[in-house]
Amino acid sequence: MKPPIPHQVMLSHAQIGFGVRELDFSTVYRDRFTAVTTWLRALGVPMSELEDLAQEVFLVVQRKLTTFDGKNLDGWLYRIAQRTASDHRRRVWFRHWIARAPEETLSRVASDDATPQAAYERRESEAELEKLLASIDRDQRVVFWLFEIEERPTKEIAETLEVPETTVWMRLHRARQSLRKKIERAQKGTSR
Amino acid sequence: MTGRLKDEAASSDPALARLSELCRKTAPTRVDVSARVRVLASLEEAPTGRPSRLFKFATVAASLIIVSTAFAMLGPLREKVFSRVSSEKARPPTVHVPSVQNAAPTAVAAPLPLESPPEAPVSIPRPIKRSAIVHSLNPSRIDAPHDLPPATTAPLVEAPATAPSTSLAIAPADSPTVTKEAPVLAAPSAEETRLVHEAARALRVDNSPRRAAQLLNEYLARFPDGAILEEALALSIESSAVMNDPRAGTFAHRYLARFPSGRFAAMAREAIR
Repeated sequence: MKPPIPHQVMLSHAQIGFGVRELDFSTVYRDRFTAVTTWLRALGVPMSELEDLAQEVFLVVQRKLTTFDGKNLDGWLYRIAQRTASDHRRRVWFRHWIARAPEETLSRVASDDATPQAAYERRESEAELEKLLASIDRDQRVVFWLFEIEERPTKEIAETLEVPETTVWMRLHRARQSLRKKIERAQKGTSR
Repeated sequence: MTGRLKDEAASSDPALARLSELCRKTAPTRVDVSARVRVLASLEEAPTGRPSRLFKFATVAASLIIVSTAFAMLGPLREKVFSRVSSEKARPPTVHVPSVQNAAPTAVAAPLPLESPPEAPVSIPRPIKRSAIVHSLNPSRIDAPHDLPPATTAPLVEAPATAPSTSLAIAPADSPTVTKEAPVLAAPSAEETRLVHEAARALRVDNSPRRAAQLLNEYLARFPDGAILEEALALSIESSAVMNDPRAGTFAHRYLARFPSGRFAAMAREAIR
């Protein structure tokens, strides 16, 4: 059994181009742009701010690509997206706190639905699901979104999040339970 | 349940059915090609380099200067505020009782909601015997107000608890009887304070009980329910007693009717006798 390569060695290999030889920025951008936007959505970024956040993520990627260890590109990109989304949430909160500016919501996004009625129903459903997802644990939310909405396989989600697949199933199960309970409570509240 | 909720058949659980419906109606993320191009274009325009060391150094230096300037500006202000607060805390809430030599044993004056003017504090009459009053009001024995020691440094003696009727003790402020009969009063107005203060000064310092009586009569006429009525009545008893005025008894009766367990009740009873 080979001994694990120390992280520092991996980094120095990455710095001289070893392991990332085939990766240049345009390739990463072309192949992973959609995935990054998907993760950002899963992390709770509204559609209206997706482009800006994607740009921020790829700015970091552009700057740090030489430090990438070449092991798990999706995991590395996801971590950058996670930090960017976290910074964004903090900024939005601060902006809202200072200026009392209304937060961007899905209802502001233009839709391509066939009829205004369909567009309205879809926006309402999305807003309701967004509200429910905002109230559960963030890790559970990401897994739920990627599996249920984006229809990504659990194996891929596990690789991206760098967790075992069983953890993904567990988070999914818990997310469903939490959401079911919240809907149940809301239904009981409205029926009274 | 390992499949996706949106693919599940209609569930019997209404909450789960609603969740499935929400998942079905929510569209996955779709970013069009134009967005991809826009982001790439903005990335090419955006500066990619990290902030230079010089910029970092300048930022840190500027922050340090701002913080230290703010600290230097706030320092004296904080000290000023702190000293004001501490001086207010340090100021005793009690009314100063001037020391009179050979005075009868008495207790420490109870705290009063009476604001003393800084230049000449309001003096409160002390529960002393008539003979002692006359004796103590010898001008040669009275110090000027600025020479008077504060109440806490005056040679005061706790009144014996066993003989409350004969002692001239002042009841402590936290005594239940006092709190019942002499509740915390509203702060006296400036005019009230002036009248009583001048009366006390006339009686104690200027040795002019007549002037004191005039001022006190004015006080009692203008403020029959004044905030420092108790002190005014006690001073009236004292000034009348000094002048051998029979109205001392009238004032004493009035005092006892209003403050039967007041701090100067013993003195009032003494005056009646």
